[in-house]
Amino acid sequence: MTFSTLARALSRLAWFCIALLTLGWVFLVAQALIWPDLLAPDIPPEVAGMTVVPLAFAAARAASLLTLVPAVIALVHAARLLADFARGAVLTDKSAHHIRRIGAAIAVRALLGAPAKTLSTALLTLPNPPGRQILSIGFSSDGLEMLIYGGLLFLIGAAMRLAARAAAENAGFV
Amino acid sequence: MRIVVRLDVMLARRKMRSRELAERIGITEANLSLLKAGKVKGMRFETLAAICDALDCQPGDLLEAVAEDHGS
Repeated sequence: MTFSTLARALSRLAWFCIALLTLGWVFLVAQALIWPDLLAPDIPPEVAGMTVVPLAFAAARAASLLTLVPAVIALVHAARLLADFARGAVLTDKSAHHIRRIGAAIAVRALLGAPAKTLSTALLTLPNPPGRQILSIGFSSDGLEMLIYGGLLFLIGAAMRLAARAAAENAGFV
Repeated sequence: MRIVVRLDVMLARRKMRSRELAERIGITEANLSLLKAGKVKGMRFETLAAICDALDCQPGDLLEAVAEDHGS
């Protein structure tokens, strides 16, 4: 499989994810505001002894979808990186920029995991009477691992940027 | 101040063609052409030594520092 084929496939996947994400949010909002009854089968009868309101359920689901945004951004940059590779631009400032962005997106995804969970729980239990609302705060080892991978990828991108500048400088010498 | 490459002058003096020089010093004709036109950022000592060796000259015969023409 060539770089251009991979780039095209990733680009299509990224656009598909963007479309799916947008549709997901629109659908959730529409479901909660226009057809709350449609959400009923998905809503658990009771969560920790509390009843769940359809609007809160949809808002919590929409909040949990937030974590997909950095993943889609990483996918878009991966597609652009491969497209550059297909054009023969391997050790360039632009390629380094895409690698740094992929690393940053993975790190943001890792950091976003905990607040997204907190937000979903808060939204889910917001309509409950005082004393029965939940605020869950936590950070998993998976998130930490992802943060390290993202940071490492960002560092590789930063190193590649320096290498690309050195290569560009050397290219001017005969 | 800028550096001007006088390679074409030395080539004419030695009656050598660019193609032959490029072959002798091991660089492409395209790069030698860029060097002659002064369209390169710099020259490696290795290349300079090879040119001096091929043309039997000194670096000073190939390079000249001239004052910048700032214009009016």
